[in-house]
Amino acid sequence: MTFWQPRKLAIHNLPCSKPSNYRYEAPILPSIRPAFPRSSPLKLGWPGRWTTSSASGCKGAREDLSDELLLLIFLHLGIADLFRAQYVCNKWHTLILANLEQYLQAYGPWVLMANTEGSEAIVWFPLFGSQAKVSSNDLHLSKFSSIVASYKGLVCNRLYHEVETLLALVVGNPITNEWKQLPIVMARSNDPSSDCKFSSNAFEVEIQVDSDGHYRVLAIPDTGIAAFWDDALEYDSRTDCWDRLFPKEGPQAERWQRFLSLGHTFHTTWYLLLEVMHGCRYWRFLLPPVGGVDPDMPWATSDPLSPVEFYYWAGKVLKNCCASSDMDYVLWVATKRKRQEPKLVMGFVIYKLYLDKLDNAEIANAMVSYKSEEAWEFVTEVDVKHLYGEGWDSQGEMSRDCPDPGFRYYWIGDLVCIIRISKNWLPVAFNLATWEWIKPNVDISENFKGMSVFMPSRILQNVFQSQSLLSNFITILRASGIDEHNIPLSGQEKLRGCKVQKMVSLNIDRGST
Amino acid sequence: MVKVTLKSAEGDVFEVDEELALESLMVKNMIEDVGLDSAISLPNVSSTILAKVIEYIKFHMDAQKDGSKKTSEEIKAFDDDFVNVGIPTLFEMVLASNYLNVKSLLSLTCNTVANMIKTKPPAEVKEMFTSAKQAKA
Repeated sequence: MTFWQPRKLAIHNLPCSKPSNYRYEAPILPSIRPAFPRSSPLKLGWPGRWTTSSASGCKGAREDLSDELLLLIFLHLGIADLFRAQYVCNKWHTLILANLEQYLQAYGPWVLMANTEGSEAIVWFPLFGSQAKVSSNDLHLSKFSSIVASYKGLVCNRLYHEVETLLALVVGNPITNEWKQLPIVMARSNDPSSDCKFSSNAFEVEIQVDSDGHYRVLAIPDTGIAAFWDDALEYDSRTDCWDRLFPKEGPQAERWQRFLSLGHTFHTTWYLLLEVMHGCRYWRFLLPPVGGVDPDMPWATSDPLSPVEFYYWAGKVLKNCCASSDMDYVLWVATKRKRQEPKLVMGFVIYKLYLDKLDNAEIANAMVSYKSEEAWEFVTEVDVKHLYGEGWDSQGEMSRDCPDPGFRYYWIGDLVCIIRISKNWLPVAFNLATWEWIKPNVDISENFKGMSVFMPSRILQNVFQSQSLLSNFITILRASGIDEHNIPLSGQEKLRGCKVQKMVSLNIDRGST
Repeated sequence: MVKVTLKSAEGDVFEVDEELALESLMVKNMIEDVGLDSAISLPNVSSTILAKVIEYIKFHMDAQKDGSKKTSEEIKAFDDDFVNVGIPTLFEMVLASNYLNVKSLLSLTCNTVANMIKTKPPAEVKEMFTSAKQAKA
């Protein structure tokens, strides 16, 4: 019955060579109806008896469209229109949010791709092999320079600023098109007497969204251990201001000081720390516990921290994270390069590591030497040329500073999405259930070159379960749209352009270090 | 051919082929329950809307018959033209097709409403729906 399937479910035609725990397998739409809450007597497809007494017998009386009918109508909307429709009125809002999970399951995860000018965008649904154009009026992406972080439906963009030592960020929901400019902070050297200010580009930015819809933005400068300690900043939407990430005083401060002094060199620690932060997407886990010191945690010892020890701890963090979800494995995407040309990416290799079968030490060992260890199950390997043809990798210039700076890996259920945020690079996705590589149907010669990508969620980058994705996503949508919900985004001033609206000086005591 | 008598909210009587009437699952159930002897009363459907629904079913039944020369373009053109009505009428058709349980018409009308919502800012959608409500009242 085509009526129930507004989107072509191309995925069902794919050969399924492996046993699947594919969570999007059944088309959700056909079963959407019985799951709706019934606020009024069932009118759709009633079992076979109709008595006029249950109808509004009053002659000429017109009833409003019932909830069931509205939901039927919403089924015909695309995802962007659905999100917009929830702001029509309270009734629609409640209705759509209550059923959003089912709608979204029907759509699966999606990737937003915008062209260089930001004038056009495509929403790509890797699971269904479908894509839809989004009106440029709805996405004011051209106002922003680059997406530096995204999490659970919110994206963080960097704004151009004529003073390059100023860090100007915007957080927003591109689908509902709500944006909030964060207070501008000065990215300065840790030495207050020095005139040497470092560029705001030196900041790594991460965003984390909490379950209550509030979010935190983390900015870590890549300019040495002292700056790391002194200039790492955290923005909290609850207080709407930037603050030091690492407290200067108190037991937390001591532990962090100790932890940071453990690494052999700054860069080892920094990269390992960043890797785990990116990897877990849950950097709050990294903060030492307030009460009591875990003897397994690195700050409990005073010896230098080896990578294995570090991952031992990381493995523990991972296992702690997965205890609260049904995550049972970690995926690792390794880039494949030509031996002679380290800058040229030839393809990707995906490995899988089953956490539940290993103890912390084994996880640590596997993570340090992931390619050679037997613990890693080889999943697949792909040549980028095979996906996009010759020339696809011609612009795959890698930055010298960071191992794989332009790649982002997303895991959603059994879907792996690999994205290169750069010129001429398009996302590819690998479906672990069907063993297929999927790519969007975009002509490379078209304008979709420079590209901003974003997915509804990455809980742990490594693994994810669809249920929590959806509920978290719903939290965000709820948080980012409606005034009476005490929201971070729309309760405050909304961004109307790229103009710098206010300067907020950072009130941080920077004593000598 | 057996005829079925349908009675609209205003009391107007429509005599249609049984085959046509059975396209509405609701009428079909009524016929099974009470038989063909008495007129089937449809207090929720006005005469105009009932006439439209009958027109729709009749066209599609003819189009499906063997020997029908109607192309899919013609059918689509009919559908487009059929739902090219004012919003209040369209909403009434959604309600009527739901009440009468005519699946294809319900799908068509819902899709039409959805297309009206698409790409419109929420305020405009709200205005559209509010004015439709006022027009009905």
